[in-house]
Amino acid sequence: MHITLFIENENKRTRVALQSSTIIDALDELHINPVTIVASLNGTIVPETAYLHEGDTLELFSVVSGG
Amino acid sequence: MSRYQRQETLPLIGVAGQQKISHATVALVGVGALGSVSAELLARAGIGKLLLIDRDLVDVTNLTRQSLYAEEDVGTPKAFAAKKRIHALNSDVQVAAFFEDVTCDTITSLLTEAHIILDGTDNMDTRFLINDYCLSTGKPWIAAGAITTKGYVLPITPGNPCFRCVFAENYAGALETCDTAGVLNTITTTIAALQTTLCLKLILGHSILPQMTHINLWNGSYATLGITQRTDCPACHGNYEYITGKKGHDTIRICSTNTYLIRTPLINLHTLQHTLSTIDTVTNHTYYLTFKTMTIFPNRILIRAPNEQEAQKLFTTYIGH
Repeated sequence: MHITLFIENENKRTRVALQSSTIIDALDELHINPVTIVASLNGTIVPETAYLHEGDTLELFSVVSGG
Repeated sequence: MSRYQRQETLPLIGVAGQQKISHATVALVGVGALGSVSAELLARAGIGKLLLIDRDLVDVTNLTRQSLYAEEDVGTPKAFAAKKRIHALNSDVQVAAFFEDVTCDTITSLLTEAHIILDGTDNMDTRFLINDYCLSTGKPWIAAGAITTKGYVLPITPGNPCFRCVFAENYAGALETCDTAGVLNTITTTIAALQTTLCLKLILGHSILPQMTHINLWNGSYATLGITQRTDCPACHGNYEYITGKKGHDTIRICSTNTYLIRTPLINLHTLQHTLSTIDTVTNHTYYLTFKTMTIFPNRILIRAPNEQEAQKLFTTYIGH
């Protein structure tokens, strides 16, 4: 499956091939700590248990705590 | 001519809208980088009343971005310094300042009067607590955060997904802090300005979308993200784990300084000063004591230490419970 991946922390948008079918598995495959990010699938923040589909856009935003 | 003529001329506000602003009460939980800017903007806009709540003192490292404070305020409780500055900016605004920690025990009394709550905190536990309070009372709140060159604003309004639908838990130790990662003053000011805009829209009765706005000023990125309700969200199902004290930490790392806050039962400062003075110098600052790297308040202690374990060790060694 191919998706568009945007990693906000690196300001990098790429097209990647994944074996995983859910966001949480994709994060593991991409070696990204799920605790530190909020996942947006096609423009909407969703639980990391959400399924991925061919052509999706997955955007990963850092959790920000400072104020 | 009215002081607020420039706002009243805006069709989005008008004279009637300005009246609404002047009758609104807004609470700022935390008057640091976000809260001090939001409080200043609301005061200049003619807000009726501000509730300023902060447990911290002005530190010299705050002065790069916390617009209400000056060098002469270093060492003063932020809430009190903010109140003084706001009175100088707009004496029409009523201000109640609370040099307090927002906990499950204090949140209801601190926020009862507020129509809207603005998030100026530096930790997730307090945000989950505010979320519980607002869901249980039906009040809107506007979450916000900023670090390095990025930040977000997330309005939480009744009937829509809540903060806990968006953010998971158990972040302890996993997130960057201002003291380790740094923060640019333009991002905190930008995020506070957006937060204040949404607050004014709520006061004026304009609709606001339940969405997160994420900005990275350095990269020039601006994203608006929809949010969805988690089917398993405890708070949305009336299970308020933070306001009931089932969840939340007793030790909290304070952003912007390598400092840890430990909540305590009520401390008699006079008695403790006498005890600690047999060990080393204790200074009494009326509201609090300072001893070694500790700032001791009647119900909490701020400890400057390289890590949480060291802070706990100092606490156990000198306070003893």
